[in-house]
Amino acid sequence: MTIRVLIADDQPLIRSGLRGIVGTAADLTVVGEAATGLQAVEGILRLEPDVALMDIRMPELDGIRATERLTAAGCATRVLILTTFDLDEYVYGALRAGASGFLLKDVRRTTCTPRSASWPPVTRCSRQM
Amino acid sequence: MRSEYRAPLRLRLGPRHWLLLDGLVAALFGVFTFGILGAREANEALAITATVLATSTLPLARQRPVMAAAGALAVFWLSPISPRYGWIALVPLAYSLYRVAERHRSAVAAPALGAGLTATVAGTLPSFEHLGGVVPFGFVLIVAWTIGFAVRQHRLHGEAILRQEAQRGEERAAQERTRIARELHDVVAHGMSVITVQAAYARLVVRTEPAQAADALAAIETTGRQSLAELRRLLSMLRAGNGSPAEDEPAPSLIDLPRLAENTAHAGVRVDLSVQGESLPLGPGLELSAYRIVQEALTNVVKHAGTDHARVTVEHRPDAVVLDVVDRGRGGDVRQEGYGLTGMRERAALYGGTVLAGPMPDGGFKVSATLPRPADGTS
Repeated sequence: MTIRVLIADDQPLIRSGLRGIVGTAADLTVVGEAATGLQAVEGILRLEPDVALMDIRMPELDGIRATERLTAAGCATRVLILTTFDLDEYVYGALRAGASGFLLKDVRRTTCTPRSASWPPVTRCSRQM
Repeated sequence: MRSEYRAPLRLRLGPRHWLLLDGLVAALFGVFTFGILGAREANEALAITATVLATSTLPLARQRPVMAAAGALAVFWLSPISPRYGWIALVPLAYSLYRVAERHRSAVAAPALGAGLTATVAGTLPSFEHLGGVVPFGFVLIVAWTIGFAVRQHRLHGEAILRQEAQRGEERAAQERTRIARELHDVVAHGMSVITVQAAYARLVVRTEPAQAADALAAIETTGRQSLAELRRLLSMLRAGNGSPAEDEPAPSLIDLPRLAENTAHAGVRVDLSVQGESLPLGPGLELSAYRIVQEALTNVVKHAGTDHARVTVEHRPDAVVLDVVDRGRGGDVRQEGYGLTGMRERAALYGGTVLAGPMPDGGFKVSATLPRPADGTS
Protein backbone atom coordinates (compact mmCIF):
# COMPACT_ATOMS: atom_id res chain seq x y z
CA MET A 1 0.00 0.00 0.00
CA THR A 2 1.43 3.38 -0.96
CA ILE A 3 1.31 6.17 1.56
CA ARG A 4 0.30 9.48 0.00
CA VAL A 5 2.20 12.49 1.32
CA LEU A 6 1.68 16.26 1.09
CA ILE A 7 4.57 18.62 1.89
CA ALA A 8 3.87 22.07 3.29
CA ASP A 9 6.85 24.40 3.76
CA ASP A 10 7.41 27.98 2.67
CA GLN A 11 10.96 27.31 1.49
CA PRO A 12 11.06 25.82 -2.02
CA LEU A 13 14.44 24.19 -1.36
CA ILE A 14 13.09 22.37 1.68
CA ARG A 15 10.08 21.19 -0.32
CA SER A 16 12.21 19.97 -3.20
CA GLY A 17 14.62 18.20 -0.85
CA LEU A 18 11.82 16.49 1.08
CA ARG A 19 10.03 15.63 -2.15
CA GLY A 20 13.22 13.98 -3.39
CA ILE A 21 13.77 12.04 -0.18
CA VAL A 22 10.16 10.91 0.11
CA GLY A 23 10.07 10.10 -3.59
CA THR A 24 12.97 7.64 -3.36
CA ALA A 25 11.04 5.45 -0.94
CA ALA A 26 9.07 2.82 -2.83
CA ASP A 27 5.96 2.92 -0.68
CA LEU A 28 5.72 6.72 -0.35
CA THR A 29 4.45 9.10 -2.97
CA VAL A 30 4.20 12.89 -2.89
CA VAL A 31 0.77 13.97 -4.03
CA GLY A 32 1.04 17.69 -3.41
CA GLU A 33 2.99 20.67 -2.08
CA ALA A 34 1.98 23.84 -0.31
CA ALA A 35 3.92 27.03 0.40
CA THR A 36 1.54 28.56 2.93
CA GLY A 37 -0.75 27.35 5.68
CA LEU A 38 -3.85 28.24 3.66
CA GLN A 39 -2.59 26.32 0.65
CA ALA A 40 -1.84 23.39 2.91
CA VAL A 41 -5.36 23.30 4.37
CA GLU A 42 -6.91 23.67 0.94
CA GLY A 43 -4.63 21.00 -0.63
CA ILE A 44 -5.08 18.50 2.20
CA LEU A 45 -8.87 18.81 2.20
CA ARG A 46 -8.91 18.38 -1.57
CA LEU A 47 -6.30 15.63 -1.98
CA GLU A 48 -6.86 13.83 1.32
CA PRO A 49 -3.28 12.54 1.65
CA ASP A 50 -2.44 9.97 4.35
CA VAL A 51 0.32 12.13 5.82
CA ALA A 52 1.09 15.85 5.70
CA LEU A 53 4.54 17.19 6.54
CA MET A 54 3.77 20.60 7.97
CA ASP A 55 6.24 23.42 8.64
CA ILE A 56 5.39 25.64 11.59
CA ARG A 57 6.45 29.06 10.36
CA MET A 58 4.62 29.74 7.14
CA PRO A 59 3.02 32.89 5.74
CA GLU A 60 -0.76 33.53 5.86
CA LEU A 61 -1.39 30.76 8.37
CA ASP A 62 1.16 28.95 10.50
CA GLY A 63 1.41 25.19 10.63
CA ILE A 64 -0.20 24.88 14.04
CA ARG A 65 -3.26 26.94 13.04
CA ALA A 66 -3.51 24.97 9.82
CA THR A 67 -3.48 21.73 11.82
CA GLU A 68 -6.20 23.13 14.09
CA ARG A 69 -8.41 23.81 11.10
CA LEU A 70 -7.84 20.33 9.71
CA THR A 71 -8.69 18.76 13.06
CA ALA A 72 -11.80 20.92 13.32
CA ALA A 73 -12.81 19.83 9.83
CA GLY A 74 -12.54 16.19 10.92
CA CYS A 75 -9.82 15.45 8.39
CA ALA A 76 -8.27 11.97 8.59
CA THR A 77 -4.85 13.12 7.36
CA ARG A 78 -2.08 12.60 9.91
CA VAL A 79 -0.08 15.79 10.38
CA LEU A 80 3.63 15.55 11.11
CA ILE A 81 5.05 18.88 12.20
CA LEU A 82 8.39 19.84 10.67
CA THR A 83 10.57 21.87 12.99
CA THR A 84 14.14 23.06 13.20
CA PHE A 85 14.36 22.81 16.95
CA ASP A 86 12.22 20.69 19.20
CA LEU A 87 11.03 23.63 21.25
CA ASP A 88 8.50 22.78 23.93
CA GLU A 89 6.17 25.66 23.08
CA TYR A 90 5.76 24.31 19.57
CA VAL A 91 5.48 20.69 20.65
CA TYR A 92 2.57 21.29 23.01
CA GLY A 93 0.88 23.78 20.71
CA ALA A 94 1.02 21.40 17.79
CA LEU A 95 -0.09 18.33 19.75
CA ARG A 96 -3.01 20.30 21.20
CA ALA A 97 -3.90 21.32 17.66
CA GLY A 98 -4.12 17.67 16.69
CA ALA A 99 -0.73 16.86 15.16
CA SER A 100 0.33 13.21 15.22
CA GLY A 101 4.03 13.74 15.63
CA PHE A 102 7.15 15.70 14.90
CA LEU A 103 9.88 15.53 12.37
CA LEU A 104 13.02 17.53 13.07
CA LYS A 105 14.51 19.09 10.00
CA ASP A 106 17.83 17.42 10.69
CA VAL A 107 16.25 14.39 9.07
CA ARG A 108 18.30 11.27 8.48
CA ARG A 109 17.54 8.88 5.77
CA THR A 110 16.75 6.13 8.25
CA THR A 111 14.13 8.14 10.09
CA CYS A 112 12.71 9.37 6.84
CA THR A 113 11.92 6.11 5.13
CA PRO A 114 9.04 3.96 6.31
CA ARG A 115 11.08 0.77 5.94
CA SER A 116 12.68 1.75 9.18
CA ALA A 117 10.58 1.21 12.25
CA SER A 118 11.57 4.66 13.50
CA TRP A 119 8.75 6.50 11.76
CA PRO A 120 5.93 5.28 13.94
CA PRO A 121 3.27 7.84 13.02
CA VAL A 122 3.28 6.65 9.45
CA THR A 123 3.10 2.96 10.27
CA ARG A 124 0.42 3.55 12.82
CA CYS A 125 -1.58 5.70 10.49
CA SER A 126 -1.32 3.29 7.55
CA ARG A 127 -2.39 0.41 9.72
CA GLN A 128 -5.40 2.32 10.94
CA MET A 129 -6.52 3.23 7.48
CA MET B 1 52.19 50.95 35.96
CA ARG B 2 51.21 50.85 39.59
CA SER B 3 54.01 53.19 40.58
CA GLU B 4 53.07 55.71 37.88
CA TYR B 5 49.41 55.99 38.77
CA ARG B 6 48.50 56.37 42.41
CA ALA B 7 45.05 56.87 43.79
CA PRO B 8 44.40 59.71 46.25
CA LEU B 9 45.55 58.70 49.72
CA ARG B 10 41.98 58.68 51.03
CA LEU B 11 41.04 55.88 48.62
CA ARG B 12 44.11 53.77 49.26
CA LEU B 13 43.38 53.39 52.97
CA GLY B 14 41.80 50.15 54.13
CA PRO B 15 39.65 49.63 57.24
CA ARG B 16 42.74 48.82 59.31
CA HIS B 17 44.43 52.05 58.32
CA TRP B 18 41.34 53.99 59.29
CA LEU B 19 41.22 52.25 62.65
CA LEU B 20 44.86 53.19 63.24
CA LEU B 21 44.23 56.81 62.26
CA ASP B 22 41.09 57.01 64.37
CA GLY B 23 43.03 55.48 67.24
CA LEU B 24 45.79 58.10 66.96
CA VAL B 25 43.29 60.96 66.86
CA ALA B 26 41.43 59.44 69.80
CA ALA B 27 44.66 59.10 71.80
CA LEU B 28 45.51 62.76 71.19
CA PHE B 29 41.97 63.72 72.13
CA GLY B 30 42.13 61.62 75.28
CA VAL B 31 45.43 63.11 76.47
CA PHE B 32 44.26 66.62 75.65
CA THR B 33 40.85 66.40 77.36
CA PHE B 34 42.28 64.67 80.38
CA GLY B 35 44.95 67.36 80.58
CA ILE B 36 42.56 70.31 80.55
CA LEU B 37 39.48 68.72 82.14
CA GLY B 38 39.84 65.29 83.72
CA ALA B 39 43.00 66.04 85.66
CA ARG B 40 41.20 68.72 87.65
CA GLU B 41 38.64 66.27 88.97
CA ALA B 42 38.88 65.23 92.57
CA ASN B 43 37.87 61.62 91.86
CA GLU B 44 40.83 60.65 89.69
CA ALA B 45 39.71 57.06 89.09
CA LEU B 46 36.34 58.17 87.78
CA ALA B 47 37.93 60.90 85.64
CA ILE B 48 40.34 58.44 84.05
CA THR B 49 37.61 55.88 83.45
CA ALA B 50 35.29 58.49 81.91
CA THR B 51 38.02 59.91 79.69
CA VAL B 52 39.06 56.47 78.48
CA LEU B 53 35.45 55.54 77.78
CA ALA B 54 34.71 58.79 75.92
CA THR B 55 37.94 58.45 73.97
CA SER B 56 37.35 54.84 73.01
CA THR B 57 34.04 55.73 71.33
CA LEU B 58 35.93 57.68 68.65
CA PRO B 59 37.53 54.72 66.84
CA LEU B 60 34.43 52.62 67.60
CA ALA B 61 31.99 55.02 65.91
CA ARG B 62 32.97 54.11 62.36
CA GLN B 63 31.94 50.47 62.81
CA ARG B 64 29.50 50.52 65.75
CA PRO B 65 28.02 54.01 65.88
CA VAL B 66 25.08 53.20 68.18
CA MET B 67 27.34 51.55 70.73
CA ALA B 68 29.72 54.51 70.53
CA ALA B 69 26.88 56.98 71.04
CA ALA B 70 25.68 55.02 74.07
CA GLY B 71 29.18 55.10 75.58
CA ALA B 72 29.57 58.83 75.00
CA LEU B 73 26.10 59.47 76.39
CA ALA B 74 26.93 57.50 79.54
CA VAL B 75 29.92 59.75 80.15
CA PHE B 76 27.79 62.81 79.47
CA TRP B 77 25.37 61.68 82.13
CA LEU B 78 28.18 62.03 84.67
CA SER B 79 27.63 65.79 84.31
CA PRO B 80 25.57 66.01 87.50
CA ILE B 81 28.76 64.98 89.34
CA SER B 82 30.81 67.56 87.49
CA PRO B 83 30.06 69.63 84.35
CA ARG B 84 33.52 68.71 83.05
CA TYR B 85 32.24 65.26 82.12
CA GLY B 86 29.80 66.92 79.75
CA TRP B 87 32.66 68.74 78.07
CA ILE B 88 34.70 65.55 77.85
CA ALA B 89 31.80 63.70 76.20
CA LEU B 90 30.52 66.43 73.89
CA VAL B 91 32.77 65.80 70.87
CA PRO B 92 32.54 61.97 71.09
CA LEU B 93 28.75 62.18 71.40
CA ALA B 94 28.36 64.61 68.49
CA TYR B 95 30.69 62.54 66.32
CA SER B 96 28.97 59.22 67.08
CA LEU B 97 25.52 60.77 66.46
CA TYR B 98 26.86 61.90 63.08
CA ARG B 99 27.95 58.33 62.42
CA VAL B 100 24.60 56.89 63.59
CA ALA B 101 22.63 59.15 61.25
CA GLU B 102 25.03 58.44 58.40
CA ARG B 103 24.84 54.70 58.92
CA HIS B 104 21.31 53.83 60.12
CA ARG B 105 17.79 54.42 58.91
CA SER B 106 15.62 56.97 60.73
CA ALA B 107 13.94 54.33 62.91
CA VAL B 108 17.30 53.88 64.63
CA ALA B 109 18.87 57.28 64.04
CA ALA B 110 15.97 59.41 65.30
CA PRO B 111 15.66 57.70 68.72
CA ALA B 112 19.44 57.87 68.99
CA LEU B 113 19.27 61.64 68.51
CA GLY B 114 16.46 61.82 71.10
CA ALA B 115 18.54 59.89 73.60
CA GLY B 116 21.56 62.02 72.77
CA LEU B 117 19.61 65.21 73.45
CA THR B 118 18.87 64.07 77.01
CA ALA B 119 22.55 64.83 77.53
CA THR B 120 21.72 68.53 77.40
CA VAL B 121 19.38 68.01 80.33
CA ALA B 122 22.06 66.05 82.17
CA GLY B 123 24.30 69.08 81.75
CA THR B 124 21.91 71.19 83.83
CA LEU B 125 21.60 68.76 86.70
CA PRO B 126 21.54 68.48 89.62
CA SER B 127 20.57 72.10 90.33
CA PHE B 128 19.46 73.42 86.94
CA GLU B 129 22.33 75.88 87.18
CA HIS B 130 23.57 75.79 83.62
CA LEU B 131 20.29 76.12 81.76
CA GLY B 132 22.06 78.32 79.23
CA GLY B 133 24.06 75.28 78.07
CA VAL B 134 21.02 73.43 76.79
CA VAL B 135 20.72 75.37 73.56
CA PRO B 136 24.34 75.34 72.33
CA PHE B 137 24.87 71.70 73.37
CA GLY B 138 21.62 70.67 71.68
CA PHE B 139 22.56 72.71 68.63
CA VAL B 140 25.93 70.99 68.26
CA LEU B 141 24.36 67.53 68.57
CA ILE B 142 21.53 68.28 66.12
CA VAL B 143 23.90 69.76 63.54
CA ALA B 144 26.20 66.74 63.74
CA TRP B 145 23.26 64.37 63.39
CA THR B 146 21.80 66.36 60.48
CA ILE B 147 25.07 66.31 58.57
CA GLY B 148 25.16 62.52 58.94
CA PHE B 149 21.54 62.31 57.81
CA ALA B 150 22.26 64.40 54.73
CA VAL B 151 25.32 62.34 53.82
CA ARG B 152 23.21 59.20 54.10
CA GLN B 153 20.39 60.61 51.93
CA HIS B 154 22.90 61.67 49.34
CA ARG B 155 24.38 58.19 49.23
CA LEU B 156 20.98 56.45 49.14
CA HIS B 157 19.84 58.67 46.30
CA GLY B 158 22.91 57.80 44.26
CA GLU B 159 22.47 54.11 44.96
CA ALA B 160 18.78 54.20 44.02
CA ILE B 161 19.58 55.80 40.70
CA LEU B 162 22.28 53.24 40.01
CA ARG B 163 19.96 50.38 40.92
CA GLN B 164 17.16 51.73 38.78
CA GLU B 165 19.49 52.12 35.86
CA ALA B 166 20.84 48.61 36.40
CA GLN B 167 17.31 47.26 36.19
CA ARG B 168 16.52 49.18 33.04
CA GLY B 169 19.79 47.98 31.61
CA GLU B 170 18.96 44.38 32.33
CA GLU B 171 15.67 44.75 30.53
CA ARG B 172 17.38 46.33 27.56
CA ALA B 173 20.02 43.60 27.48
CA ALA B 174 17.28 40.96 27.60
CA GLN B 175 15.51 42.57 24.66
CA GLU B 176 18.75 42.76 22.77
CA ARG B 177 19.47 39.09 23.46
CA THR B 178 15.99 38.12 22.30
CA ARG B 179 16.47 40.03 19.07
CA ILE B 180 19.85 38.42 18.42
CA ALA B 181 18.43 34.99 19.26
CA ARG B 182 15.59 35.54 16.80
CA GLU B 183 17.97 36.54 14.03
CA LEU B 184 20.23 33.59 14.78
CA HIS B 185 17.23 31.29 14.72
CA ASP B 186 16.22 32.63 11.33
CA VAL B 187 19.64 32.08 9.87
CA VAL B 188 19.85 28.57 11.27
CA ALA B 189 16.24 27.67 10.57
CA HIS B 190 16.35 28.82 6.99
CA GLY B 191 19.89 28.07 5.96
CA MET B 192 20.82 25.01 7.94
CA SER B 193 17.57 23.14 7.43
CA VAL B 194 17.76 23.61 3.68
CA ILE B 195 21.36 22.40 3.73
CA THR B 196 20.50 19.37 5.84
CA VAL B 197 17.47 18.34 3.84
CA GLN B 198 19.17 18.85 0.49
CA ALA B 199 22.28 17.02 1.63
CA ALA B 200 20.19 14.09 2.83
CA TYR B 201 18.49 14.01 -0.56
CA ALA B 202 21.78 14.32 -2.49
CA ARG B 203 23.30 11.43 -0.56
CA LEU B 204 20.23 9.36 -1.27
CA VAL B 205 20.33 9.84 -5.05
CA VAL B 206 24.02 10.45 -5.71
CA ARG B 207 24.42 7.08 -7.53
CA THR B 208 21.02 6.68 -9.11
CA GLU B 209 20.38 10.25 -10.21
CA PRO B 210 23.68 12.19 -10.27
CA ALA B 211 22.10 15.20 -12.00
CA GLN B 212 19.57 15.60 -9.19
CA ALA B 213 22.34 15.18 -6.64
CA ALA B 214 24.33 17.91 -8.39
CA ASP B 215 21.31 20.23 -8.26
CA ALA B 216 20.98 19.55 -4.55
CA LEU B 217 24.69 20.28 -4.03
CA ALA B 218 24.31 23.54 -5.94
CA ALA B 219 21.42 24.48 -3.68
CA ILE B 220 23.54 23.61 -0.65
CA GLU B 221 26.39 25.78 -1.93
CA THR B 222 24.16 28.79 -2.57
CA THR B 223 22.36 28.45 0.74
CA GLY B 224 25.66 28.00 2.57
CA ARG B 225 27.01 31.20 1.07
CA GLN B 226 23.89 33.14 1.96
CA SER B 227 23.94 31.83 5.50
CA LEU B 228 27.60 32.78 5.88
CA ALA B 229 26.84 36.31 4.71
CA GLU B 230 23.94 36.47 7.18
CA LEU B 231 26.12 35.21 10.01
CA ARG B 232 28.81 37.73 9.14
CA ARG B 233 26.22 40.49 9.31
CA LEU B 234 24.95 39.20 12.65
CA LEU B 235 28.45 38.99 14.08
CA SER B 236 29.35 42.49 12.93
CA MET B 237 26.14 43.67 14.53
CA LEU B 238 27.17 42.01 17.78
CA ARG B 239 30.53 43.71 17.58
CA ALA B 240 29.08 47.04 16.49
CA GLY B 241 30.47 50.11 18.17
CA ASN B 242 33.43 48.31 19.68
CA GLY B 243 35.78 48.93 16.81
CA SER B 244 37.56 46.09 15.11
CA PRO B 245 41.29 46.02 15.61
CA ALA B 246 43.46 44.52 12.92
CA GLU B 247 43.65 40.81 13.40
CA ASP B 248 47.40 40.65 13.94
CA GLU B 249 47.26 43.27 16.68
CA PRO B 250 47.07 41.81 20.18
CA ALA B 251 43.79 42.51 21.95
CA PRO B 252 44.08 45.47 24.30
CA SER B 253 44.07 44.82 28.04
CA LEU B 254 44.17 46.81 31.26
CA ILE B 255 47.90 47.44 30.72
CA ASP B 256 46.91 49.62 27.77
CA LEU B 257 44.78 51.97 29.86
CA PRO B 258 47.52 54.67 30.13
CA ARG B 259 47.61 54.77 26.32
CA LEU B 260 43.81 54.99 26.26
CA ALA B 261 44.03 57.85 28.78
CA GLU B 262 46.52 59.63 26.50
CA ASN B 263 44.30 59.18 23.47
CA THR B 264 41.31 60.46 25.39
CA ALA B 265 43.38 63.53 26.37
CA HIS B 266 43.92 64.18 22.67
CA ALA B 267 40.13 64.12 22.31
CA GLY B 268 39.94 66.90 24.88
CA VAL B 269 39.24 65.02 28.10
CA ARG B 270 42.05 64.75 30.63
CA VAL B 271 41.92 61.40 32.40
CA ASP B 272 43.24 60.70 35.89
CA LEU B 273 43.95 57.01 36.04
CA SER B 274 44.55 55.27 39.31
CA VAL B 275 45.18 51.61 39.93
CA GLN B 276 44.70 50.13 43.36
CA GLY B 277 45.55 46.73 44.70
CA GLU B 278 47.78 44.08 43.27
CA SER B 279 47.10 43.59 39.57
CA LEU B 280 47.13 39.88 38.92
CA PRO B 281 46.53 38.72 35.35
CA LEU B 282 42.85 38.17 34.54
CA GLY B 283 43.03 36.26 31.31
CA PRO B 284 42.80 37.84 27.86
CA GLY B 285 39.00 37.71 27.48
CA LEU B 286 38.28 39.43 30.77
CA GLU B 287 41.12 41.92 30.27
CA LEU B 288 39.74 42.86 26.87
CA SER B 289 36.22 43.28 28.24
CA ALA B 290 37.49 45.43 31.10
CA TYR B 291 39.44 47.59 28.66
CA ARG B 292 36.46 47.96 26.34
CA ILE B 293 34.14 48.94 29.18
CA VAL B 294 36.50 51.73 30.22
CA GLN B 295 36.92 52.74 26.59
CA GLU B 296 33.18 52.88 26.03
CA ALA B 297 32.62 54.87 29.22
CA LEU B 298 35.33 57.38 28.27
CA THR B 299 33.85 57.68 24.79
CA ASN B 300 30.57 58.62 26.44
CA VAL B 301 32.36 61.24 28.53
CA VAL B 302 33.91 62.75 25.39
CA LYS B 303 30.63 62.65 23.49
CA HIS B 304 28.08 63.60 26.08
CA ALA B 305 29.54 64.95 29.32
CA GLY B 306 30.69 68.36 28.12
CA THR B 307 33.64 68.30 30.51
CA ASP B 308 37.40 68.22 30.12
CA HIS B 309 38.17 65.88 32.96
CA ALA B 310 37.35 62.31 33.98
CA ARG B 311 38.63 59.93 36.60
CA VAL B 312 39.23 56.23 36.00
CA THR B 313 39.84 53.94 38.94
CA VAL B 314 40.84 50.31 38.58
CA GLU B 315 40.61 48.48 41.84
CA HIS B 316 42.04 44.97 41.98
CA ARG B 317 40.23 43.17 44.75
CA PRO B 318 40.99 39.58 45.70
CA ASP B 319 37.70 38.42 44.21
CA ALA B 320 36.99 40.98 41.50
CA VAL B 321 38.15 43.92 39.48
CA VAL B 322 36.15 47.10 39.93
CA LEU B 323 36.30 49.75 37.22
CA ASP B 324 34.95 53.23 37.96
CA VAL B 325 34.72 55.98 35.39
CA VAL B 326 33.52 59.25 36.87
CA ASP B 327 33.13 62.69 35.35
CA ARG B 328 31.83 65.97 36.73
CA GLY B 329 30.13 66.94 33.50
CA ARG B 330 26.56 67.22 32.44
CA GLY B 331 25.38 63.93 33.91
CA GLY B 332 22.21 63.63 31.96
CA ASP B 333 19.75 60.92 31.30
CA VAL B 334 21.25 57.51 30.79
CA ARG B 335 18.43 56.46 28.52
CA GLN B 336 19.81 58.65 25.79
CA GLU B 337 23.09 56.77 25.92
CA GLY B 338 21.53 53.35 26.11
CA TYR B 339 23.44 51.76 23.33
CA GLY B 340 26.91 52.05 24.77
CA LEU B 341 25.74 51.01 28.22
CA THR B 342 23.95 47.98 26.83
CA GLY B 343 27.18 46.92 25.17
CA MET B 344 29.11 47.38 28.41
CA ARG B 345 26.54 45.32 30.31
CA GLU B 346 26.69 42.49 27.84
CA ARG B 347 30.47 42.46 27.98
CA ALA B 348 30.38 42.37 31.77
CA ALA B 349 27.62 39.76 31.82
CA LEU B 350 29.77 37.44 29.69
CA TYR B 351 32.05 37.12 32.73
CA GLY B 352 29.33 37.21 35.37
CA GLY B 353 29.95 40.88 36.07
CA THR B 354 27.67 43.87 36.44
CA VAL B 355 27.69 47.47 35.27
CA LEU B 356 26.02 50.26 37.21
CA ALA B 357 25.69 53.61 35.51
CA GLY B 358 23.83 56.81 36.16
CA PRO B 359 23.99 60.51 36.80
CA MET B 360 25.23 61.55 40.22
CA PRO B 361 22.99 63.69 42.42
CA ASP B 362 25.41 66.60 42.43
CA GLY B 363 26.09 66.51 38.70
CA GLY B 364 28.35 64.34 36.66
CA PHE B 365 28.03 60.74 35.63
CA LYS B 366 29.41 57.49 36.98
CA VAL B 367 29.92 54.11 35.38
CA SER B 368 30.95 51.35 37.73
CA ALA B 369 31.72 47.84 36.50
CA THR B 370 32.46 44.87 38.72
CA LEU B 371 34.04 41.87 37.03
CA PRO B 372 34.51 38.80 39.23
CA ARG B 373 37.99 37.35 39.10
CA PRO B 374 37.98 33.87 37.57
CA ALA B 375 38.71 31.18 40.14
CA ASP B 376 41.78 29.81 38.35
CA GLY B 377 43.22 33.18 37.40
CA THR B 378 42.41 32.84 33.72
CA SER B 379 39.37 33.24 31.56
